Amino acid sequence: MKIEEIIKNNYPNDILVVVDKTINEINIKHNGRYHYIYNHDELETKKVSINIESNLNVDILEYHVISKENDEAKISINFLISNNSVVNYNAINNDCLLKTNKSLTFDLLENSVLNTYILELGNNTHSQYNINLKEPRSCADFNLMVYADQGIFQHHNVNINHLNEYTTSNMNNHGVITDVSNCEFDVTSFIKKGSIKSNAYQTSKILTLSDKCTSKINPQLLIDEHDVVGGHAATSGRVSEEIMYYMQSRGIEKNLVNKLIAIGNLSKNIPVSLIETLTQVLERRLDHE
Amino acid sequence: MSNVFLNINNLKASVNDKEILKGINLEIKPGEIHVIMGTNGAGKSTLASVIMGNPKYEVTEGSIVFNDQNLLDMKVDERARAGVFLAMQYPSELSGVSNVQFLKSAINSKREKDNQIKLLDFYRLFKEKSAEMKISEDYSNRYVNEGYSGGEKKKNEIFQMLMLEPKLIMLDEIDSGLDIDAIKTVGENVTKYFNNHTNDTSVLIITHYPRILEYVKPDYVHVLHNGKIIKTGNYELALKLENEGYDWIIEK
Repeated sequence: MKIEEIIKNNYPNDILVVVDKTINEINIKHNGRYHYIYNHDELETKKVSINIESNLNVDILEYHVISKENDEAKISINFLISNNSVVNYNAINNDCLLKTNKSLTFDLLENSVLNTYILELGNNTHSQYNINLKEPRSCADFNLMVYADQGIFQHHNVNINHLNEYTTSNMNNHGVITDVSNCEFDVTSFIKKGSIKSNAYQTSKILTLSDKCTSKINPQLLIDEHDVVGGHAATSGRVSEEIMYYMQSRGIEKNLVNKLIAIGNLSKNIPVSLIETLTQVLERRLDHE
Repeated sequence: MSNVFLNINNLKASVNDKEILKGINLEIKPGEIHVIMGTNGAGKSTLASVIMGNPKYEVTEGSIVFNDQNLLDMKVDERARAGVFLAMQYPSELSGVSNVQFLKSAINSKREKDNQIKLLDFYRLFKEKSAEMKISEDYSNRYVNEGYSGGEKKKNEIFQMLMLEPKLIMLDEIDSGLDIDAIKTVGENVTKYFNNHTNDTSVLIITHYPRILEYVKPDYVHVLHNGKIIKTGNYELALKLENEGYDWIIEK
């Protein structure tokens, strides 16, 4: 069944848009749940602006599909979130045919809130996320979950820029890799001078399930203002010996321990609506391992 | 099955080339409760870890036979599936892994692929055992041991024991960090489980204090010192150790 049909069946009251080459700008004027499907069968770079008007509460679910193995698909999406609006942005890419090079920019105006949950479970991916907290009291909670196996690379560059006072960000990047795959997180939280009372936190974690895969985390906190709070943590490595021993001592064999910890790492705190997709994809692919 | 359930013979084990166990001999029969007591560093927790198969320790000599199986030839998960259970002193936190996922995986690991536990049966069992352990209802979706107090972690170990139904139960300082009510809950549940499975279950308790023994009455009390069992007695020995300490035994 095509993804359009699945969405129509499951969410008959939602708004569904297939973003083809004729669509360059989308204006969201009403509360609700919006599904955007990007079909990458055409190779041209897709550029889209999505503007969310003031005082809205909006869920955006984004899907990427392709019907044949292709060159790298390029996409650039700019979001403008106006005053007092709350946007919950969920993006799922679990298409193993799709290699992507994407750039997402979120500009947040006064008192607006962005919550993102991005699942990158597909093919080679280069992504650039820029989140600009442009006006006072804007707030971003950014969550990126990545899985890579079978020679796939996942490179993600995340920048959260605090450009005004009383802005808050919380960034979580979680990766699980196995086989000969590679994952890199290049992440920066920047607080501009004058952005007083701002808070910036970032956590990046990559779990490696084989000796052949490689990972790299480059975390940065660039703070140009005294009256702020910031913190970061970054870890990369295998399931600890203590955890392996503990779980095995309950009868669970090593492969299943790795699987449970991998799914746990990526599914922790994500919305219930995404857990099923994530679990199904990971169970299938980790079983293949 | 032989009359001896667990047979430990001249067991020697070391960590980082330092010998901790220096020739342990111990026999436990089905339906028996044994207690190991001793001073700090005597090797009590090491003994339980070595029986469970903790890879941190190297067994240099001796044998451990459980239920006619040579445990030293078995991996940790194989030992667990054979019925060995260790309630740990410091249980790990499993971030992102819920109690339901964890226990369902553990139960199904002991079963054949065509006989996996049905979801409804699992939840029925989960609800029954969590009520027995006085564990709150939100527990099922909480991540294993993450954010738990020391006492909650210990209660969780016993809850796992009730769910997994092991044959050799080892409790490593299960009473530390527990308040009086929690010790009672833990002790009563261990005893109830043991009494219902007495034909094919044994218990090995490692403790500093005889408080837990008020609820789980032992058949034998062993004193471990410097990697060896130096005295064996009954419950009276545990009470004497609490009153008089270990010096009178060690000095002999």
